[in-house]
Amino acid sequence: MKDWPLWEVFIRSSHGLAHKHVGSLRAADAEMAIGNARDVYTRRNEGVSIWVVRSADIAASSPGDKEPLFDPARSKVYRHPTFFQLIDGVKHM
Amino acid sequence: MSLFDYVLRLGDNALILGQQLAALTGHGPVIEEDIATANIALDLVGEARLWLSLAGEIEGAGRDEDDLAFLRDEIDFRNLLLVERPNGDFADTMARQFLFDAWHEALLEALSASTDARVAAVAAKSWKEARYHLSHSGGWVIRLGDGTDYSHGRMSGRPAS
Amino acid sequence: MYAQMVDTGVQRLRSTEELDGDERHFQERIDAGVRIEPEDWMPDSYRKTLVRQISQHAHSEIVGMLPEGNWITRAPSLLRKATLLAKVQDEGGHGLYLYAAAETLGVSRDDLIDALHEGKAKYSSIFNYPTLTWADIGAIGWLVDGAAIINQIPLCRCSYGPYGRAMVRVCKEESFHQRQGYDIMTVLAQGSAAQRRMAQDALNRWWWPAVMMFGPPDTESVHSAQSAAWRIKLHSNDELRQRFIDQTVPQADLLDLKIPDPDLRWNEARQSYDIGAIDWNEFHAVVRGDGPCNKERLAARRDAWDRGAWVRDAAAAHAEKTTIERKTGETR
Repeated sequence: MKDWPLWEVFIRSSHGLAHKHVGSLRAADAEMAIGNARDVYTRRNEGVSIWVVRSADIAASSPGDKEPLFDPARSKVYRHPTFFQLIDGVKHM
Repeated sequence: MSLFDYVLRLGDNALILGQQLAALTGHGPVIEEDIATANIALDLVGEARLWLSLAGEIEGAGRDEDDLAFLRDEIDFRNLLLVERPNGDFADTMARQFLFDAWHEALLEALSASTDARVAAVAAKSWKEARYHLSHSGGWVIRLGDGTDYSHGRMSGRPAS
Repeated sequence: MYAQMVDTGVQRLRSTEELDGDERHFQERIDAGVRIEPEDWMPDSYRKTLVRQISQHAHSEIVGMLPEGNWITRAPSLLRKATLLAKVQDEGGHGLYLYAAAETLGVSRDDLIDALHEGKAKYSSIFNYPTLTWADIGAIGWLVDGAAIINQIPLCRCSYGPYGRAMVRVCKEESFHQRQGYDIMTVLAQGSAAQRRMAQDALNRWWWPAVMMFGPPDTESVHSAQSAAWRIKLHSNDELRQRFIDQTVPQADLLDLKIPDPDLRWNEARQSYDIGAIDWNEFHAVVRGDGPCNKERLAARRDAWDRGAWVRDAAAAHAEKTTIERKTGETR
């Protein structure tokens, strides 16, 4: 038989954080993927919402592009609040 | 029928079907389905514990869930004959499950409005579980009914080959 | 362990200086504690070894459902039934996480399962022993899961990202498994004479197989050096085995159960227990396929897979039909 497609599972926990990738599983269709994700990845109250995406549909950055993609951000230190020295006595900033 | 008998019947249904599904653990068609089946079995064993504890409480003779589950003779069980049907193959298991779930879900919804608060509480908790069970078995009835000639035949009662 | 005697395909470990190009860069990253991710370059032998190790581990979880599953329908109370069912279900989940981790290395789960069914892939020797009494369920949780935890906690820090993350999830879920086993043993050990006898009998039968789970002694572990350099094996077999023994013996003492080893002694100088000779012939026989339940276990797995084939095909066929419908807008 053919393998059932692989799905990536994203769960939003009850703490209000964004959906987080938790793992993958196999399912023949989307409805089954959601059911399986519920049974496999939320057995211990881990979530209140499930997304499933076929792994084949995910476009990912390539490791070879790591330098052009991510290195340029390193030099922009002024984007971070710790870059700025505050004078003594300033509060709520 | 006394309330004790009625609650016992509800407990026996869940107990026997839970036991049957539990026996399938590790023998499913794919791991994901093994895990799903175990979840349904766990829900049913949990439900059985609640009904049997309540039956023991109603009876007032000091019997707990385990006394009622383990220390009765088979002629004293009050379950539906449907849940005693053998597991058979996956189509048999799902047909049994779908018919049971469809009935169980409607029954528990109605019992959630019972005038007996204890019955209503157990029914309301189990109803949520039963709704999921019905969508799971219903999904499989459709998949097998529509899938291949063989699965269609099995789902509509043609003997296994 | 759950992955025993994993072949690295490497005859001799080369030092970083002897490596060149990609391979050298790869080893330097591992030495620096950088996690390797699926899309990163990796030596073929690293990939193959990991596939073997992770799939062995996955197979062990799935085959491991069988000996305990044997007692779900016969657990002595409804609470014990539910707890055991939840535990065996977790093992299915763990197998699934591990297969998914292996799949990131470019193999398919179906191929891995085929290799198991054809007898080409191994699984842990421990699951080829029978579960004869309810006390065996206690012994497995206490000893087998106890040994597994000792092995798996370091693997959370292994060099391969998906494997490490799977291990984190497994370890988090597994913490209740050992306790439920020890709880069963405690109740039996503190129960009637017949129950105590049953608990002792289970310990007698499971002790040595559990000690052997960690694999052959370091002097005979031919592939360990390469696996250690790759950081997919973080402690030696004997180190982990000693840790298991030192942790477990006092737990047996607390229950007044006797470890079935006349040579077991506390070694004051080493601050560890010395144990008697391990019967490695038994271990190798079980790994070779001649354990008490090898044939039964494999037959049960093959049977489930073969009987499920038409179900998997039907679901795939239904999915295909509905996808076509959605694309063409036609309904049947």
